[in-house]
Amino acid sequence: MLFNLRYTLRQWQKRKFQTLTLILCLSLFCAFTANLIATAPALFNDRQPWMSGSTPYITIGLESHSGKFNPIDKTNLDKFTQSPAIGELMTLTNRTLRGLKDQSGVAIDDAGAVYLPPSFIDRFADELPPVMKKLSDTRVILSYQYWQSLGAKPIEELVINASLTGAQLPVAGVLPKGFRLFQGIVSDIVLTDQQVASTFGINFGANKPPDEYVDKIINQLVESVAFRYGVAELKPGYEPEDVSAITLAKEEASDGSVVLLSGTASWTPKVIEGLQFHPQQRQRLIDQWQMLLGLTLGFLLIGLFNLLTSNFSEYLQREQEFQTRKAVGASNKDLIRQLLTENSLLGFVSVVLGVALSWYILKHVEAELVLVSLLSSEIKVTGVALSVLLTVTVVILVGLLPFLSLNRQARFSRSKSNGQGRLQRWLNAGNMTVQIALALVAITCSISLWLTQEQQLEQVSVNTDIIQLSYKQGETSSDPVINLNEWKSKLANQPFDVAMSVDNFIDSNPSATQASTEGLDSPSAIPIQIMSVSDNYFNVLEAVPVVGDRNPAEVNQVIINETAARELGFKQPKQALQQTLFVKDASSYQFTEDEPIIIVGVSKDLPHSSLNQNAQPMIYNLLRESGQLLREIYLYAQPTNVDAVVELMQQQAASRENMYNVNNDGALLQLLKQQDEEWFVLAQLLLGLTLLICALAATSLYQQIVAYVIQRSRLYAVMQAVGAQVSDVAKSISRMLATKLLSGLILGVIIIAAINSWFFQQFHAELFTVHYLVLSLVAILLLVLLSYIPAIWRQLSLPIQRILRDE
Amino acid sequence: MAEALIETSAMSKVFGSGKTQFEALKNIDLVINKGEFVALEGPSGSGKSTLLSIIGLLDVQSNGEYSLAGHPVHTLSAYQRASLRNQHVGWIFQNFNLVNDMTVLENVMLPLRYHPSINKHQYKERAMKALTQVEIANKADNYPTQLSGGQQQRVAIARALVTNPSLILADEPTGNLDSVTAEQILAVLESLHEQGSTILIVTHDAKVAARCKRRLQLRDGQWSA
Ligand SMILES: Nc1ncnc2c1ncn2[C@@H]1O[C@H](COP(=O)(O)OP(=O)(O)O)[C@@H](O)[C@H]1O
Ligand SMILES: [Mg+2]
Repeated sequence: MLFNLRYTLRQWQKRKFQTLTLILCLSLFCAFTANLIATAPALFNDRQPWMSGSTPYITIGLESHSGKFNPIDKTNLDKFTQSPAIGELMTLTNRTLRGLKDQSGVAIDDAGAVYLPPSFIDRFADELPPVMKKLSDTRVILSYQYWQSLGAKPIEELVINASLTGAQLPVAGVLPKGFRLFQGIVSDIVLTDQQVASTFGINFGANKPPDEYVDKIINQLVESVAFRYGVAELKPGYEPEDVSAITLAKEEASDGSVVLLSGTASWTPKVIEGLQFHPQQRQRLIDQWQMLLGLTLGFLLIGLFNLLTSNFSEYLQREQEFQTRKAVGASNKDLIRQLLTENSLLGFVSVVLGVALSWYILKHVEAELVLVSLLSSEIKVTGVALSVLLTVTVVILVGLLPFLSLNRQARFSRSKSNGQGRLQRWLNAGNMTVQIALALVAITCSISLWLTQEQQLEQVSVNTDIIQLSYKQGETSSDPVINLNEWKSKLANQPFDVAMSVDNFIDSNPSATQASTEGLDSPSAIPIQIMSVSDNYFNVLEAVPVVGDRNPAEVNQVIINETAARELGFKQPKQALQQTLFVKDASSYQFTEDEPIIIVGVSKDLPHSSLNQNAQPMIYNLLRESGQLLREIYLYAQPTNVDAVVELMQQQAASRENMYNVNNDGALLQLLKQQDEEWFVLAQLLLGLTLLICALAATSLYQQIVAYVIQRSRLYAVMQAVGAQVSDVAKSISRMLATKLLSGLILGVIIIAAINSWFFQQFHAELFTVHYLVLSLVAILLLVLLSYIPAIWRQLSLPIQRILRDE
Repeated sequence: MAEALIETSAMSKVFGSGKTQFEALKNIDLVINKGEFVALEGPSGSGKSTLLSIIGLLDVQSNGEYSLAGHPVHTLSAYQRASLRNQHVGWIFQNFNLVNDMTVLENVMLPLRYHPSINKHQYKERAMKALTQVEIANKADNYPTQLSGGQQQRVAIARALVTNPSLILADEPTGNLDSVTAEQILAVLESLHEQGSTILIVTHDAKVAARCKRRLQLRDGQWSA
């Protein structure tokens, strides 16, 4: 045994680079598999750790047409006696807490907070971690990660200070490491909130405001709440199917006042064992999970192919050793035992490294990359055990295949035949093709991702210097709304240009707001996003080309972007100028449906949310005088004027008892890059992986060409003995390579096309262009040459007469 | 006066360097004329195969002169040596060295593919002629693995003579054959000699050597008396 091991290490020594890359590849497979296994149950089956399996829970939410969940409340629920299936409902709210400070007054990062009703803790007391019982109205608990990010201080020393309300929130405890209360919700802080379980509605009293105005307020409220989930339990005797969608309606209270329930919302109950991910979030996670799965399978494929070829090539080179071993009395079993040791050691080293890697990924990469952050936050023993078992088994089984195949051809006994086994023929045909294809795919992905990011950034027609500043109401504040008129006149009085917008982010969902140039109910209406801006917005963002008017003067004049113009049916941007636009369901914005809107300008597309998504149709309309409940505004200024604007904002905030946050968000271009940070990190990661895949492909190609040449070295020697030139031999080897290369490239291009179309569906942008493909093709040819030349050199430097005289 | 085909003077071959340096051939002077039938004898390790490799242009001498058919070999490039090998030398090996993935006919046609002046459509005709000469034409479409050792060696001989080389080199051509078959192969070589070929056979079998017209003895890389 010890001898076997020592012998194995000597074999590795002979092909260090090959063994190293192989181990790295297999360990990556092991690491990713461990993480995938750990993540899959949570992702595909929403069961929460604290929910027992016996009761089917339903998650319900009200869905507004903006795609967000509307609030659910006890009073609403009482109306639903027509759906007797719902027995007990508890609602949970999720929001972001801003403006937090620690005890000593130092600002700390925003936190994702989950508000739980006290009844939730009572109901699930047995299943929840004991620390949850320490929650009270005034005491919060923290997630393990958040606690760590605050410096992991002793609990007693921790007080979270909601600076906007002045509330002091002592920390009662920390959730166990890795415990996630809800999969889809970032819960840095867990709070209880009596209100969550109580009626949610607005009483306007007897003075009923106009319907549109009420709708606007509702929308604002809905958006400020962001997500609301409910957990409900089925009453005995009811099946999940008994719960059907129910539509809410506005109602008048008995005193004649209007109690508003969200007007267009509807129940979307769903039976699952536990609280589900928000569908959008789940889809995003599943996409990422699948991406990881693809990567993992790629590693497996490359690893196995490498293992197969390297063992084939190695066992052929060791033919004599095996023959000798047999000659001195070794049985097939003995030989297999030796090879088993060799492959087991390979598997063992790979999984050790793999487990270390998966730990490293979690520890260090998670923070930077959303893609990886979905991975389970701790290494689960079962996941690791499974992936270790899988890796080792695969390595041992696949590693032995070449021996068994060669042995069947009696390669290792004196009476050998020269024919090739089926496995080997199949390998020879398929392997190089696959390696070349995968290397091509990897190189193209990495080149494209890298270059597209940088290039897209360059193409954005924004003046890079323009700084965005934000003035935001604190999350927990009940301060009156921002007075737009006041701001307008203040900004107009500045000696320089400051632009303003009330919404600087764009929903990634298709919006419910519709626009058409053919009337309100036209079937050709397109979904559109609206951004309200000051009249000098495009003056300040001077680099953005606009056809027509840059600064509309009237409230009924709008600028649309090129995508909107195109989708509205205008081939040339300028054809859209002076057209009348009808906008429907823009309730939270300032359009009145019967008022004609004139398109006075068409701007180049400006990416508001991501470089990696196609621009969405946009309307830039003028900020109107009143009517909006604004919680934040954004200002845009040249860097030289930033200080003055900040001072202005601070004065304004001071006059509101500092209930507003004043922020210098940074240069617009930098902000765009930040929004796509994931992509940049992904590009880096991919570059690393690509280098690995290329190293693997190069060693494997080299090994394959060597194996191919070794098996034919007698042929080549005979060719030379009968007078063939060296170039004839090289030509014969090249011909073989050329067909594999060609088929590999074709396969690679097919895979790339498939990835591209998948990517297009996901992100509405092309990942690859022909340009990148050509670059990658050049790279791959270099790679092939790099593995081809040494392999041929090796053959041609062997003494012919020796080969010919060998048995 | 007989024309010299092979001429060597003070030719030696050194393998390796430093400690592992080994002189396999020492000061070999040799002249073989056209049409000779020569046996090269000597114990194992005496340098027979090494000498044959150099003569057959599969290897190059370390020192001394060697010219084949008037071409001073050490002045030739690898490319020229390959061409010379193709047109002037036919090799026969102890282990036949047939290509198993090619038919008998294809094996025999192989040297023709590298011959500069033989036309493609003559390949088959020439190969069949060579096969007929060694009486194995009926197996032209078989694969080498389907033939007996003696038959395989006949094919190898056909391959050696298909380009009408001025020199046929055989390294222990009967070493892998039983005595009856060996006898037949020797008969083939003899008939080639009678048709004018120059033949050099390496052997350590005195019976084989006795059939040759001239016998050379090699010992420790040198001629022995
Ligand atoms: N390529 C080589 N490198 C080192 N030594 C060699 C090489 N080829 C042959 N020899 C040595 O040269 C000597 C002569 O070998 P060889 O010509 O094969 O002998 P023979 O054919 O007479 O049995 C032997 O000692 C052999 O070990
Ligand atoms: Mg010999």
